[in-house]
Amino acid sequence: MITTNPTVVNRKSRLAVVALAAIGSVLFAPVISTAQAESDPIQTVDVYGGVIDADHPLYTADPYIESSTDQGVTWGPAYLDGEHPWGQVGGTNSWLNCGPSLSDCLDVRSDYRVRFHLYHGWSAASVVADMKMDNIGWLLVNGTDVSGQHPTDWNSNGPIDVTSMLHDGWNEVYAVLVDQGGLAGINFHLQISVASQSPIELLPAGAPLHYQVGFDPGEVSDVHTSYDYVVGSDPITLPTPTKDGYTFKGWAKGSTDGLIIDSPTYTPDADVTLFPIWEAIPPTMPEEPVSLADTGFDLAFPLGLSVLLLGLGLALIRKTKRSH
Amino acid sequence: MTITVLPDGTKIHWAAIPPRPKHSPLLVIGELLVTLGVIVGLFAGYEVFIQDEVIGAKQTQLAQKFGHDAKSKFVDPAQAKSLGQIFGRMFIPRFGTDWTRLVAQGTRWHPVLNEIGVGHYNNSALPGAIGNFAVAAHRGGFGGSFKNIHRLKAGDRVYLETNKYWYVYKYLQTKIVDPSDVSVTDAVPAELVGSHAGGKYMTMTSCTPIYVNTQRIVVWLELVETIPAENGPPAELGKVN
Repeated sequence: MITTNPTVVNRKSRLAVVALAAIGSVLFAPVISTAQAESDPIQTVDVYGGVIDADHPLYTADPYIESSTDQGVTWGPAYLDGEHPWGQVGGTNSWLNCGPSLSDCLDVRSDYRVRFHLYHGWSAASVVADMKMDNIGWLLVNGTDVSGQHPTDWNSNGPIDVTSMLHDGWNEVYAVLVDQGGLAGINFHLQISVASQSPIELLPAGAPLHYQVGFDPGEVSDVHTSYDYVVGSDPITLPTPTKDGYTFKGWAKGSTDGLIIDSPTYTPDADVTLFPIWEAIPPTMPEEPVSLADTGFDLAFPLGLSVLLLGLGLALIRKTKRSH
Repeated sequence: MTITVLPDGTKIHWAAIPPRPKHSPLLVIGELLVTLGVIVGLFAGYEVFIQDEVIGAKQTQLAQKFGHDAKSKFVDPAQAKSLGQIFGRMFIPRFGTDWTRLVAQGTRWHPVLNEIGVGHYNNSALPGAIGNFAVAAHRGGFGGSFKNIHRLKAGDRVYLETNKYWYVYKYLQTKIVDPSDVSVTDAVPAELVGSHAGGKYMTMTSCTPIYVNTQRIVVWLELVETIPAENGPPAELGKVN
Protein backbone atom coordinates (compact mmCIF):
# COMPACT_ATOMS: atom_id res chain seq x y z
CA MET A 1 0.00 0.00 0.00
CA ILE A 2 1.34 3.37 -0.85
CA THR A 3 -0.21 6.15 1.07
CA THR A 4 1.56 9.18 2.29
CA ASN A 5 -0.68 12.20 2.20
CA PRO A 6 -3.31 13.08 4.71
CA THR A 7 -6.87 12.40 3.68
CA VAL A 8 -9.83 14.69 3.80
CA VAL A 9 -13.47 13.93 3.21
CA ASN A 10 -16.02 16.60 2.85
CA ARG A 11 -19.77 16.57 3.39
CA LYS A 12 -21.81 19.18 1.69
CA SER A 13 -25.18 20.41 2.58
CA ARG A 14 -28.09 19.37 0.49
CA LEU A 15 -28.20 22.63 -1.40
CA ALA A 16 -24.50 22.61 -2.12
CA VAL A 17 -24.63 19.11 -3.47
CA VAL A 18 -27.56 19.84 -5.69
CA ALA A 19 -25.66 22.77 -7.08
CA LEU A 20 -22.54 20.72 -7.66
CA ALA A 21 -24.44 17.94 -9.31
CA ALA A 22 -26.02 20.40 -11.64
CA ILE A 23 -22.65 21.83 -12.58
CA GLY A 24 -20.60 18.86 -13.51
CA SER A 25 -21.21 15.33 -12.67
CA VAL A 26 -23.44 13.14 -14.72
CA LEU A 27 -22.60 10.30 -12.38
CA PHE A 28 -24.38 11.95 -9.52
CA ALA A 29 -27.55 13.10 -11.11
CA PRO A 30 -30.24 13.97 -8.61
CA VAL A 31 -31.73 10.90 -7.11
CA ILE A 32 -35.30 10.03 -7.98
CA SER A 33 -36.35 8.56 -4.71
CA THR A 34 -39.15 6.12 -4.33
CA ALA A 35 -40.20 8.27 -1.44
CA GLN A 36 -41.32 11.04 -3.71
CA ALA A 37 -44.69 9.46 -3.83
CA GLU A 38 -44.99 10.03 -0.09
CA SER A 39 -46.43 13.19 1.32
CA ASP A 40 -43.26 13.91 3.32
CA PRO A 41 -40.55 15.92 1.58
CA ILE A 42 -37.40 14.14 0.46
CA GLN A 43 -34.46 14.80 2.76
CA THR A 44 -31.03 14.18 1.28
CA VAL A 45 -27.42 14.31 2.42
CA ASP A 46 -24.33 13.69 0.33
CA VAL A 47 -21.06 12.34 1.63
CA TYR A 48 -17.92 12.57 -0.45
CA GLY A 49 -14.94 10.32 0.15
CA GLY A 50 -12.71 13.04 -1.24
CA VAL A 51 -12.97 16.77 -1.62
CA ILE A 52 -14.12 18.92 -4.42
CA ASP A 53 -11.52 21.51 -3.97
CA ALA A 54 -8.08 20.96 -2.51
CA ASP A 55 -8.25 24.49 -1.17
CA HIS A 56 -11.31 23.62 0.86
CA PRO A 57 -10.76 24.37 4.53
CA LEU A 58 -11.77 20.82 5.36
CA TYR A 59 -9.07 19.42 3.11
CA THR A 60 -6.96 17.99 5.89
CA ALA A 61 -9.49 15.83 7.69
CA ASP A 62 -13.04 14.84 7.07
CA PRO A 63 -15.53 16.21 9.55
CA TYR A 64 -18.02 13.37 9.23
CA ILE A 65 -16.12 10.23 8.18
CA GLU A 66 -14.12 8.16 10.61
CA SER A 67 -11.71 5.37 9.71
CA SER A 68 -10.78 2.19 11.47
CA THR A 69 -8.28 -0.53 10.64
CA ASP A 70 -9.42 -2.90 13.38
CA GLN A 71 -13.01 -3.31 12.28
CA GLY A 72 -14.41 -0.64 14.46
CA VAL A 73 -12.62 -1.29 17.72
CA THR A 74 -10.92 2.07 17.46
CA TRP A 75 -11.74 4.95 15.21
CA GLY A 76 -9.70 7.87 14.01
CA PRO A 77 -9.97 10.70 11.54
CA ALA A 78 -10.08 9.81 7.87
CA TYR A 79 -7.34 11.40 5.76
CA LEU A 80 -7.23 12.42 2.19
CA ASP A 81 -4.64 11.10 -0.24
CA GLY A 82 -3.74 12.77 -3.47
CA GLU A 83 -3.86 11.62 -7.06
CA HIS A 84 -4.43 7.99 -7.87
CA PRO A 85 -3.99 6.09 -11.15
CA TRP A 86 -7.46 4.62 -10.87
CA GLY A 87 -9.00 8.04 -11.08
CA GLN A 88 -11.54 9.79 -8.88
CA VAL A 89 -15.25 9.66 -8.39
CA GLY A 90 -16.85 12.73 -9.86
CA GLY A 91 -17.02 15.57 -7.42
CA THR A 92 -13.91 14.37 -5.62
CA ASN A 93 -10.27 14.62 -6.41
CA SER A 94 -8.58 12.36 -3.97
CA TRP A 95 -8.61 9.06 -2.11
CA LEU A 96 -9.25 7.93 1.37
CA ASN A 97 -6.65 5.69 2.89
CA CYS A 98 -6.55 3.90 6.13
CA GLY A 99 -3.69 5.89 7.53
CA PRO A 100 -1.37 8.69 6.77
CA SER A 101 1.71 6.52 6.14
CA LEU A 102 2.66 4.30 3.20
CA SER A 103 2.65 0.98 4.98
CA ASP A 104 -0.29 1.32 7.30
CA CYS A 105 -2.78 -0.91 5.62
CA LEU A 106 -1.29 -3.91 3.86
CA ASP A 107 -3.54 -6.94 4.33
CA VAL A 108 -5.89 -5.07 6.60
CA ARG A 109 -9.46 -4.04 6.25
CA SER A 110 -10.22 -0.38 6.61
CA ASP A 111 -13.70 0.81 7.45
CA TYR A 112 -14.95 4.29 6.71
CA ARG A 113 -18.15 5.09 8.49
CA VAL A 114 -20.65 7.87 8.34
CA ARG A 115 -23.27 8.16 11.06
CA PHE A 116 -26.57 9.87 10.56
CA HIS A 117 -29.73 10.33 12.57
CA LEU A 118 -33.28 9.71 11.41
CA TYR A 119 -36.18 11.14 13.35
CA HIS A 120 -39.31 9.10 13.84
CA GLY A 121 -41.72 9.27 10.96
CA TRP A 122 -39.33 8.75 8.05
CA SER A 123 -39.98 6.36 5.17
CA ALA A 124 -38.67 5.23 1.80
CA ALA A 125 -34.94 5.39 2.44
CA SER A 126 -32.46 4.92 -0.38
CA VAL A 127 -28.75 5.18 -1.06
CA VAL A 128 -27.00 6.09 -4.29
CA ALA A 129 -23.35 5.04 -4.31
CA ASP A 130 -20.38 5.56 -6.57
CA MET A 131 -17.13 3.96 -5.38
CA LYS A 132 -13.64 3.40 -6.72
CA MET A 133 -11.66 0.87 -4.71
CA ASP A 134 -8.12 -0.39 -4.73
CA ASN A 135 -8.03 -3.21 -4.10
CA ILE A 136 -11.46 -4.41 -2.93
CA GLY A 137 -14.27 -2.55 -1.31
CA TRP A 138 -17.94 -2.69 -0.61
CA LEU A 139 -20.72 -0.78 1.09
CA LEU A 140 -22.72 -1.71 4.16
CA VAL A 141 -25.79 -0.04 5.61
CA ASN A 142 -26.11 -0.80 9.32
CA GLY A 143 -24.06 -3.94 8.72
CA THR A 144 -25.91 -5.14 5.63
CA ASP A 145 -23.86 -5.40 2.45
CA VAL A 146 -25.67 -3.59 -0.34
CA SER A 147 -22.90 -3.81 -2.93
CA GLY A 148 -21.03 -7.09 -2.68
CA GLN A 149 -17.30 -7.05 -3.39
CA HIS A 150 -16.47 -4.81 -6.31
CA PRO A 151 -12.80 -4.44 -7.18
CA THR A 152 -11.76 -1.11 -8.55
CA ASP A 153 -15.12 0.35 -9.46
CA TRP A 154 -18.75 0.17 -8.48
CA ASN A 155 -21.67 2.42 -9.22
CA SER A 156 -25.13 1.59 -7.94
CA ASN A 157 -26.59 3.15 -11.09
CA GLY A 158 -29.51 4.54 -9.19
CA PRO A 159 -31.06 4.37 -5.74
CA ILE A 160 -30.90 1.21 -3.66
CA ASP A 161 -33.87 0.80 -1.34
CA VAL A 162 -32.45 0.54 2.19
CA THR A 163 -35.68 1.19 4.09
CA SER A 164 -35.61 -2.19 5.76
CA MET A 165 -32.03 -1.64 6.94
CA LEU A 166 -32.53 1.67 8.72
CA HIS A 167 -34.27 2.56 11.95
CA ASP A 168 -35.18 5.55 14.06
CA GLY A 169 -32.19 7.20 15.65
CA TRP A 170 -28.57 6.78 14.67
CA ASN A 171 -27.59 4.71 11.64
CA GLU A 172 -24.29 3.90 10.06
CA VAL A 173 -23.05 3.51 6.50
CA TYR A 174 -19.73 1.80 6.03
CA ALA A 175 -17.44 2.04 3.05
CA VAL A 176 -15.03 -0.86 3.41
CA LEU A 177 -11.61 -1.21 1.81
CA VAL A 178 -9.46 -4.35 1.81
CA ASP A 179 -5.84 -3.86 0.84
CA GLN A 180 -4.37 -6.78 -1.09
CA GLY A 181 -0.94 -5.29 -1.54
CA GLY A 182 0.55 -2.40 -3.37
CA LEU A 183 -1.31 0.79 -3.91
CA ALA A 184 -4.60 0.91 -1.96
CA GLY A 185 -7.32 3.42 -1.47
CA ILE A 186 -10.98 4.18 -1.75
CA ASN A 187 -12.86 7.11 -3.15
CA PHE A 188 -16.58 7.39 -2.96
CA HIS A 189 -19.73 9.44 -3.05
CA LEU A 190 -22.84 8.42 -1.10
CA GLN A 191 -26.19 10.10 -1.31
CA ILE A 192 -28.67 9.16 1.40
CA SER A 193 -32.34 10.08 0.98
CA VAL A 194 -35.46 9.57 3.07
CA ALA A 195 -38.98 10.91 2.99
CA SER A 196 -39.33 12.77 6.26
CA GLN A 197 -40.48 16.00 7.81
CA SER A 198 -37.17 16.20 9.66
CA PRO A 199 -33.75 16.63 8.06
CA ILE A 200 -31.13 13.91 8.16
CA GLU A 201 -28.59 14.83 10.79
CA LEU A 202 -24.96 13.86 10.29
CA LEU A 203 -22.81 13.14 13.31
CA PRO A 204 -19.45 14.93 13.27
CA ALA A 205 -16.45 12.61 13.28
CA GLY A 206 -15.31 11.82 16.79
CA ALA A 207 -18.45 13.19 18.40
CA PRO A 208 -20.01 10.96 21.01
CA LEU A 209 -23.20 9.26 20.01
CA HIS A 210 -26.30 10.19 21.96
CA TYR A 211 -29.44 8.17 22.33
CA GLN A 212 -32.67 9.66 23.50
CA VAL A 213 -34.37 7.48 26.07
CA GLY A 214 -37.94 8.45 26.75
CA PHE A 215 -40.00 7.17 29.66
CA ASP A 216 -43.69 7.02 29.09
CA PRO A 217 -45.03 7.95 32.49
CA GLY A 218 -48.46 6.48 31.85
CA GLU A 219 -50.48 7.03 34.98
CA VAL A 220 -47.47 7.69 37.17
CA SER A 221 -45.58 10.90 37.56
CA ASP A 222 -42.49 9.97 39.54
CA VAL A 223 -40.27 9.19 36.56
CA HIS A 224 -38.16 11.32 34.29
CA THR A 225 -39.81 11.73 30.95
CA SER A 226 -36.57 11.69 28.96
CA TYR A 227 -32.89 10.91 29.27
CA ASP A 228 -29.96 11.77 27.05
CA TYR A 229 -27.59 8.81 27.00
CA VAL A 230 -24.02 9.20 25.75
CA VAL A 231 -22.80 5.99 24.12
CA GLY A 232 -20.01 4.47 26.10
CA SER A 233 -21.06 5.99 29.39
CA ASP A 234 -22.39 4.00 32.33
CA PRO A 235 -25.71 2.25 31.86
CA ILE A 236 -28.81 4.17 32.80
CA THR A 237 -30.26 3.35 36.20
CA LEU A 238 -33.89 2.85 35.36
CA PRO A 239 -36.47 4.48 37.60
CA THR A 240 -38.85 2.33 39.60
CA PRO A 241 -42.26 3.94 39.48
CA THR A 242 -45.07 3.10 41.85
CA LYS A 243 -48.78 2.82 41.34
CA ASP A 244 -51.46 1.99 43.85
CA GLY A 245 -52.77 -1.53 43.45
CA TYR A 246 -50.09 -2.60 40.99
CA THR A 247 -46.65 -4.16 41.02
CA PHE A 248 -44.07 -2.65 38.71
CA LYS A 249 -42.69 -5.46 36.52
CA GLY A 250 -40.16 -3.56 34.45
CA TRP A 251 -39.84 -1.39 31.40
CA ALA A 252 -40.87 -2.47 27.93
CA LYS A 253 -39.31 -1.26 24.71
CA GLY A 254 -41.59 0.16 22.12
CA SER A 255 -44.95 -0.57 23.62
CA THR A 256 -46.61 -2.05 26.65
CA ASP A 257 -46.42 -5.53 25.14
CA GLY A 258 -42.86 -5.19 23.90
CA LEU A 259 -39.61 -6.62 25.22
CA ILE A 260 -39.41 -6.24 28.96
CA ILE A 261 -36.23 -4.93 30.56
CA ASP A 262 -36.27 -6.58 33.94
CA SER A 263 -32.86 -5.39 35.12
CA PRO A 264 -32.33 -2.21 37.14
CA THR A 265 -29.96 -0.75 34.53
CA TYR A 266 -30.12 -0.41 30.80
CA THR A 267 -27.64 0.41 28.06
CA PRO A 268 -29.55 1.78 25.11
CA ASP A 269 -28.45 0.90 21.60
CA ALA A 270 -30.85 3.22 19.83
CA ASP A 271 -33.35 5.95 20.52
CA VAL A 272 -36.09 4.32 22.52
CA THR A 273 -39.23 5.02 24.49
CA LEU A 274 -39.78 2.80 27.50
CA PHE A 275 -43.19 1.93 28.85
CA PRO A 276 -43.86 0.72 32.41
CA ILE A 277 -45.35 -2.74 32.73
CA TRP A 278 -47.78 -3.16 35.61
CA GLU A 279 -49.30 -6.23 37.15
CA ALA A 280 -52.43 -5.78 39.16
CA ILE A 281 -52.13 -6.92 42.76
CA PRO A 282 -54.99 -9.36 43.25
CA PRO A 283 -57.26 -8.64 46.17
CA THR A 284 -56.39 -10.81 49.08
CA MET A 285 -58.76 -13.65 49.79
CA PRO A 286 -60.51 -12.93 53.04
CA GLU A 287 -60.97 -15.69 55.53
CA GLU A 288 -64.28 -17.42 55.28
CA PRO A 289 -66.57 -16.48 58.14
CA VAL A 290 -67.29 -18.96 60.86
CA SER A 291 -70.87 -19.20 59.72
CA LEU A 292 -72.54 -20.08 56.45
CA ALA A 293 -72.72 -17.24 53.99
CA ASP A 294 -75.32 -14.56 54.55
CA THR A 295 -77.25 -14.86 51.33
CA GLY A 296 -80.44 -12.90 51.51
CA PHE A 297 -81.94 -9.48 51.55
CA ASP A 298 -83.68 -9.12 54.92
CA LEU A 299 -87.17 -7.66 54.55
CA ALA A 300 -87.93 -7.65 58.27
CA PHE A 301 -86.21 -4.37 58.96
CA PRO A 302 -87.64 -2.23 56.15
CA LEU A 303 -91.11 -3.72 56.53
CA GLY A 304 -91.05 -3.32 60.29
CA LEU A 305 -89.81 0.21 59.99
CA SER A 306 -92.48 1.01 57.44
CA VAL A 307 -95.26 -0.35 59.64
CA LEU A 308 -93.89 1.48 62.67
CA LEU A 309 -93.70 4.80 60.86
CA LEU A 310 -97.15 4.43 59.41
CA GLY A 311 -98.61 3.48 62.78
CA LEU A 312 -96.99 6.36 64.62
CA GLY A 313 -97.91 8.83 61.93
CA LEU A 314 -101.56 7.78 61.76
CA ALA A 315 -101.81 7.80 65.56
CA LEU A 316 -100.48 11.33 65.75
CA ILE A 317 -102.79 12.57 63.01
CA ARG A 318 -105.82 10.98 64.70
CA LYS A 319 -104.93 12.39 68.07
CA THR A 320 -104.42 15.88 66.68
CA LYS A 321 -107.77 15.86 64.87
CA ARG A 322 -109.59 14.61 67.97
CA SER A 323 -108.16 17.39 70.07
CA HIS A 324 -109.68 19.88 67.64
CA MET B 1 -125.01 36.05 67.20
CA THR B 2 -125.78 39.65 66.21
CA ILE B 3 -128.93 40.97 64.43
CA THR B 4 -129.01 43.88 62.02
CA VAL B 5 -132.42 45.47 61.26
CA LEU B 6 -132.73 47.15 57.90
CA PRO B 7 -134.97 50.27 57.39
CA ASP B 8 -137.66 48.11 55.84
CA GLY B 9 -137.70 45.95 58.91
CA THR B 10 -135.72 43.08 57.43
CA LYS B 11 -133.55 41.38 60.02
CA ILE B 12 -130.15 39.99 59.16
CA HIS B 13 -128.82 37.35 61.54
CA TRP B 14 -125.00 37.22 61.70
CA ALA B 15 -123.30 34.05 62.89
CA ALA B 16 -119.75 34.05 64.13
CA ILE B 17 -117.25 32.41 61.73
CA PRO B 18 -115.38 29.64 63.60
CA PRO B 19 -111.62 30.23 63.82
CA ARG B 20 -109.54 28.40 61.22
CA PRO B 21 -107.90 25.40 62.89
CA LYS B 22 -104.11 25.81 63.32
CA HIS B 23 -101.63 23.16 62.03
CA SER B 24 -100.21 21.74 65.17
CA PRO B 25 -96.61 20.42 65.15
CA LEU B 26 -97.89 16.97 66.05
CA LEU B 27 -100.03 16.89 62.92
CA VAL B 28 -97.04 17.82 60.74
CA ILE B 29 -94.89 15.13 62.37
CA GLY B 30 -97.62 12.57 61.91
CA GLU B 31 -97.93 13.36 58.22
CA LEU B 32 -94.16 13.14 57.81
CA LEU B 33 -94.05 9.77 59.54
CA VAL B 34 -96.77 8.42 57.28
CA THR B 35 -94.88 9.66 54.22
CA LEU B 36 -91.66 8.05 55.41
CA GLY B 37 -93.48 4.82 56.16
CA VAL B 38 -94.86 4.71 52.65
CA ILE B 39 -91.42 5.41 51.16
CA VAL B 40 -89.75 2.67 53.18
CA GLY B 41 -92.51 0.26 52.25
CA LEU B 42 -92.13 1.13 48.58
CA PHE B 43 -88.38 0.58 48.88
CA ALA B 44 -88.94 -2.88 50.31
CA GLY B 45 -91.35 -3.66 47.50
CA TYR B 46 -88.85 -2.42 44.94
CA GLU B 47 -86.14 -4.63 46.41
CA VAL B 48 -88.37 -7.68 46.28
CA PHE B 49 -90.31 -7.29 43.07
CA ILE B 50 -88.20 -5.12 40.77
CA GLN B 51 -84.54 -5.00 41.71
CA ASP B 52 -84.36 -8.75 42.14
CA GLU B 53 -85.54 -9.31 38.60
CA VAL B 54 -83.26 -6.64 37.13
CA ILE B 55 -80.12 -7.92 38.82
CA GLY B 56 -81.07 -11.52 38.11
CA ALA B 57 -81.39 -10.73 34.42
CA LYS B 58 -78.01 -9.01 34.47
CA GLN B 59 -76.35 -12.00 36.11
CA THR B 60 -77.92 -14.35 33.60
CA GLN B 61 -76.73 -12.18 30.74
CA LEU B 62 -73.26 -11.98 32.23
CA ALA B 63 -73.08 -15.75 32.47
CA GLN B 64 -74.40 -16.28 28.97
CA LYS B 65 -71.89 -13.93 27.40
CA PHE B 66 -68.88 -14.95 29.45
CA GLY B 67 -66.21 -16.72 27.45
CA HIS B 68 -67.40 -15.38 24.13
CA ASP B 69 -64.60 -12.87 23.81
CA ALA B 70 -60.88 -12.87 24.38
CA LYS B 71 -61.11 -10.88 27.61
CA SER B 72 -63.35 -13.28 29.48
CA LYS B 73 -61.91 -16.67 30.18
CA PHE B 74 -62.43 -19.11 33.00
CA VAL B 75 -59.58 -19.26 35.46
CA ASP B 76 -58.47 -22.79 36.21
CA PRO B 77 -60.29 -23.63 39.48
CA ALA B 78 -57.00 -24.61 41.10
CA GLN B 79 -55.57 -21.21 40.22
CA ALA B 80 -58.55 -19.22 41.49
CA LYS B 81 -56.89 -17.91 44.61
CA SER B 82 -58.29 -14.41 44.65
CA LEU B 83 -61.67 -13.09 45.62
CA GLY B 84 -63.94 -12.75 42.61
CA GLN B 85 -61.93 -14.85 40.14
CA ILE B 86 -64.43 -16.56 37.89
CA PHE B 87 -63.74 -20.23 37.29
CA GLY B 88 -67.02 -21.73 36.19
CA ARG B 89 -70.59 -21.46 35.01
CA MET B 90 -73.51 -23.26 36.62
CA PHE B 91 -76.66 -24.58 35.00
CA ILE B 92 -79.66 -25.84 37.00
CA PRO B 93 -82.56 -26.87 34.77
CA ARG B 94 -84.90 -26.99 37.79
CA PHE B 95 -84.45 -23.21 38.12
CA GLY B 96 -85.44 -22.66 34.50
CA THR B 97 -84.09 -23.53 31.08
CA ASP B 98 -82.41 -20.15 30.77
CA TRP B 99 -81.05 -20.08 34.31
CA THR B 100 -77.28 -19.85 34.43
CA ARG B 101 -74.82 -18.16 36.75
CA LEU B 102 -71.09 -17.64 36.89
CA VAL B 103 -69.20 -19.16 39.80
CA ALA B 104 -66.43 -17.14 41.42
CA GLN B 105 -64.04 -17.58 44.30
CA GLY B 106 -65.26 -16.41 47.72
CA THR B 107 -68.66 -15.80 49.24
CA ARG B 108 -68.48 -12.07 49.95
CA TRP B 109 -71.46 -10.01 48.81
CA HIS B 110 -69.18 -7.78 46.82
CA PRO B 111 -68.06 -8.56 44.19
CA VAL B 112 -69.21 -12.17 44.18
CA LEU B 113 -72.77 -12.76 45.38
CA ASN B 114 -74.21 -9.36 44.46
CA GLU B 115 -72.68 -8.94 41.03
CA ILE B 116 -71.55 -12.36 39.79
CA GLY B 117 -74.04 -14.75 41.35
CA VAL B 118 -72.59 -17.89 42.90
CA GLY B 119 -69.60 -17.97 45.24
CA HIS B 120 -67.32 -20.82 46.24
CA TYR B 121 -66.39 -21.35 49.88
CA ASN B 122 -62.66 -21.01 49.34
CA ASN B 123 -61.80 -23.49 52.06
CA SER B 124 -63.87 -26.22 50.45
CA ALA B 125 -62.91 -28.70 47.72
CA LEU B 126 -62.49 -27.84 44.06
CA PRO B 127 -65.16 -28.94 41.60
CA GLY B 128 -64.90 -32.58 40.69
CA ALA B 129 -62.45 -33.28 43.50
CA ILE B 130 -62.82 -35.69 46.38
CA GLY B 131 -64.42 -33.82 49.24
CA ASN B 132 -67.10 -31.17 49.24
CA PHE B 133 -67.35 -28.44 46.64
CA ALA B 134 -69.45 -25.87 48.52
CA VAL B 135 -71.12 -22.81 47.05
CA ALA B 136 -73.49 -20.09 48.20
CA ALA B 137 -75.81 -17.63 46.49
CA HIS B 138 -78.51 -15.16 47.42
CA ARG B 139 -82.00 -16.50 48.05
CA GLY B 140 -83.85 -13.20 47.87
CA GLY B 141 -82.43 -9.88 46.72
CA PHE B 142 -79.53 -9.17 44.39
CA GLY B 143 -80.82 -11.48 41.73
CA GLY B 144 -81.92 -14.27 44.02
CA SER B 145 -79.74 -16.84 42.28
CA PHE B 146 -80.85 -19.65 44.59
CA LYS B 147 -84.42 -18.39 45.05
CA ASN B 148 -85.78 -21.78 44.08
CA ILE B 149 -83.25 -23.91 45.90
CA HIS B 150 -86.06 -25.40 47.95
CA ARG B 151 -87.57 -26.84 44.76
CA LEU B 152 -84.60 -29.12 44.05
CA LYS B 153 -85.55 -32.76 44.44
CA ALA B 154 -84.48 -36.29 43.64
CA GLY B 155 -83.53 -36.70 40.01
CA ASP B 156 -82.43 -33.11 39.56
CA ARG B 157 -79.01 -32.36 38.16
CA VAL B 158 -76.66 -29.43 38.58
CA TYR B 159 -74.12 -28.80 35.82
CA LEU B 160 -70.87 -26.94 36.26
CA GLU B 161 -68.76 -25.85 33.31
CA THR B 162 -65.08 -25.03 33.90
CA ASN B 163 -62.13 -24.43 31.62
CA LYS B 164 -61.41 -28.13 31.20
CA TYR B 165 -64.44 -30.12 32.28
CA TRP B 166 -68.15 -30.29 32.66
CA TYR B 167 -69.17 -31.68 36.05
CA VAL B 168 -72.59 -33.23 36.60
CA TYR B 169 -73.92 -33.47 40.15
CA LYS B 170 -77.13 -35.21 41.15
CA TYR B 171 -79.40 -34.17 44.00
CA LEU B 172 -79.11 -36.06 47.28
CA GLN B 173 -80.70 -34.21 50.21
CA THR B 174 -82.01 -30.92 51.56
CA LYS B 175 -81.72 -29.71 55.15
CA ILE B 176 -82.44 -26.55 57.13
CA VAL B 177 -79.66 -25.63 59.54
CA ASP B 178 -78.50 -22.76 61.69
CA PRO B 179 -76.12 -20.23 60.12
CA SER B 180 -73.40 -21.41 62.46
CA ASP B 181 -73.55 -24.99 61.22
CA VAL B 182 -70.52 -24.81 58.98
CA SER B 183 -70.05 -28.57 59.23
CA VAL B 184 -72.43 -28.91 56.28
CA THR B 185 -69.49 -27.93 54.08
CA ASP B 186 -67.19 -30.55 55.55
CA ALA B 187 -65.52 -32.94 53.14
CA VAL B 188 -67.78 -35.66 54.53
CA PRO B 189 -70.90 -33.88 55.81
CA ALA B 190 -72.09 -35.71 58.90
CA GLU B 191 -75.69 -34.66 58.34
CA LEU B 192 -75.75 -36.01 54.79
CA VAL B 193 -77.25 -39.46 54.90
CA GLY B 194 -74.89 -42.04 53.47
CA SER B 195 -71.91 -39.71 53.11
CA HIS B 196 -68.56 -41.42 53.15
CA ALA B 197 -64.88 -40.63 52.87
CA GLY B 198 -63.73 -40.35 49.26
CA GLY B 199 -67.07 -39.07 48.08
CA LYS B 200 -67.24 -36.16 45.65
CA TYR B 201 -69.97 -33.91 47.00
CA MET B 202 -71.34 -30.53 46.28
CA THR B 203 -73.11 -28.32 48.80
CA MET B 204 -75.37 -25.43 47.92
CA THR B 205 -76.29 -23.03 50.70
CA SER B 206 -78.67 -20.10 50.84
CA CYS B 207 -80.76 -18.18 53.32
CA THR B 208 -84.14 -19.29 54.58
CA PRO B 209 -86.89 -18.39 55.14
CA ILE B 210 -86.67 -16.17 52.12
CA TYR B 211 -86.40 -12.49 53.09
CA VAL B 212 -86.13 -13.43 56.74
CA ASN B 213 -82.82 -15.28 56.68
CA THR B 214 -82.67 -16.57 60.19
CA GLN B 215 -81.57 -20.01 58.99
CA ARG B 216 -79.80 -21.64 56.06
CA ILE B 217 -81.12 -24.09 53.53
CA VAL B 218 -78.56 -26.67 52.46
CA VAL B 219 -78.70 -28.93 49.43
CA TRP B 220 -76.22 -31.74 48.95
CA LEU B 221 -75.38 -33.29 45.64
CA GLU B 222 -72.95 -35.92 44.42
CA LEU B 223 -70.73 -36.01 41.34
CA VAL B 224 -71.99 -38.48 38.77
CA GLU B 225 -70.14 -37.53 35.61
CA THR B 226 -67.08 -35.62 34.44
CA ILE B 227 -66.95 -34.66 30.77
CA PRO B 228 -63.95 -33.08 29.01
CA ALA B 229 -64.85 -29.59 27.88
CA GLU B 230 -63.85 -30.34 24.30
CA ASN B 231 -66.69 -32.86 24.14
CA GLY B 232 -69.17 -30.06 24.62
CA PRO B 233 -71.97 -29.72 27.16
CA PRO B 234 -73.88 -32.76 28.41
CA ALA B 235 -76.52 -33.86 25.97
CA GLU B 236 -79.37 -33.43 28.43
CA LEU B 237 -78.43 -29.79 28.88
CA GLY B 238 -78.96 -29.09 25.21
CA LYS B 239 -77.23 -26.31 23.39
CA VAL B 240 -75.50 -23.87 25.71
CA ASN B 241 -75.25 -20.26 24.70
